[in-house]
Amino acid sequence: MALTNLADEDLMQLVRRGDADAFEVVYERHATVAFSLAHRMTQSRNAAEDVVQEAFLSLWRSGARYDRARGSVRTWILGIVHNRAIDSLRRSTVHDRRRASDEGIEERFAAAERTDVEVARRDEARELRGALATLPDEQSRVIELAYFGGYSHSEIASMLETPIGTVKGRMRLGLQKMRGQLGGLTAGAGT
Amino acid sequence: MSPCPRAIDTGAYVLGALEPDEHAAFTEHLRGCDHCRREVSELRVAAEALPLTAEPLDPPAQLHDRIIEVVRAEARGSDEAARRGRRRRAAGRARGRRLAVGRAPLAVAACALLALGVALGALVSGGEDGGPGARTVQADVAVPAASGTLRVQDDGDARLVVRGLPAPPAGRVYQVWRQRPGEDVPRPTDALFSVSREGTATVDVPGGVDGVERVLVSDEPRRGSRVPTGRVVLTAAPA
Repeated sequence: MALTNLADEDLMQLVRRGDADAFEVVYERHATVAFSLAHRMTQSRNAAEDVVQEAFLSLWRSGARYDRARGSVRTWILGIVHNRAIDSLRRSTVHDRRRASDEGIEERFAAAERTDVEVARRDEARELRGALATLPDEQSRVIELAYFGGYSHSEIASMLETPIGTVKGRMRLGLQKMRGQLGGLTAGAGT
Repeated sequence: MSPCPRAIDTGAYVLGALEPDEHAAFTEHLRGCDHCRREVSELRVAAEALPLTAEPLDPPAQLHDRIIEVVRAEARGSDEAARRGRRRRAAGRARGRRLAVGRAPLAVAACALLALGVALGALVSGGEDGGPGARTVQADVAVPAASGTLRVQDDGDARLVVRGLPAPPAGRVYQVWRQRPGEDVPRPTDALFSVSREGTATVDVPGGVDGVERVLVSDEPRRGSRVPTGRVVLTAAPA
């Protein structure tokens, strides 16, 4: 069977044995969502490239750590990318983060809708963004600062001059509402 | 009202927004609290959807090439290491060169780190490049401002070092070739590489250069070619 027909979990078994072709299929399947997340977090094309490179090489060298019982390969990869991006953010100052922003990059590097899979992923992203956008601003803001900005609840409380308990409450309420809205989408998002 | 007063932390927990000591304490709390465990499980579904809300952006093709080059080099690593070890033992030479343990020999690890843009001068040089029989051959490079050298050891092992070389065209990699006297067409090696952002790369010439008239580098499709199809950017005469 062609590698491209294998499920991610089966590909990861081959990656664990050092199969570079299987790794390349995994990369090609998830590179866009990984790069998109890294860029969303770092706001810099160069930093996003570094993050994705570190994350995928880490995946290649530690494939044995993937445990299918704990979630999908995509979730695992995005977790690695997220952690690497937070490391990258913490290495830079807030000022640097904003200065490094690549204005207009979304237009220049927007993913082309080449295949049905990519169209479906773009639709999925649009629907998920819609779910996030329906949250009250104060809830979506704390969630975005925490997840994409890598800030702790106390840092966010300080930035927004809001009590810590309120920040925690908004995070919880926002996620509860988002979870409720995801409905059928969650199967695709989480698996 | 929530049956557990600590449930206020569930959102911050799944977002990774608790301070490290709080995170550890809440993880411990989850062991004994069914309510919080259920809530964390529910909220995690929403948190795991967050990365997918990012506007889709295509990564650059060169990123693919850089990563895959390193991975393929490392996949070849064990065989390469074994082959080198056998050759060195047969030659009876001990130059203090240490092969890395596990999947990636030193050269491959160095190549990987260079691809990551990490300066590795100290790691790849030292006694190895400065061995008593080592010599350096300047390469002809068809790119203005770029340079290349071939470090040839006394046992014929050779390492190519390039600087200022532009990245290969999108979807392609550089491939190293060897040509012996009388051969019309150079023979392919499995040495495929790209360059760092600064245009540097260090790559071993598989099989060494004993009896080799010319070492060449051309850009080729990313899995390499059997005969050169792209532009030859570098030529070195090791003899």
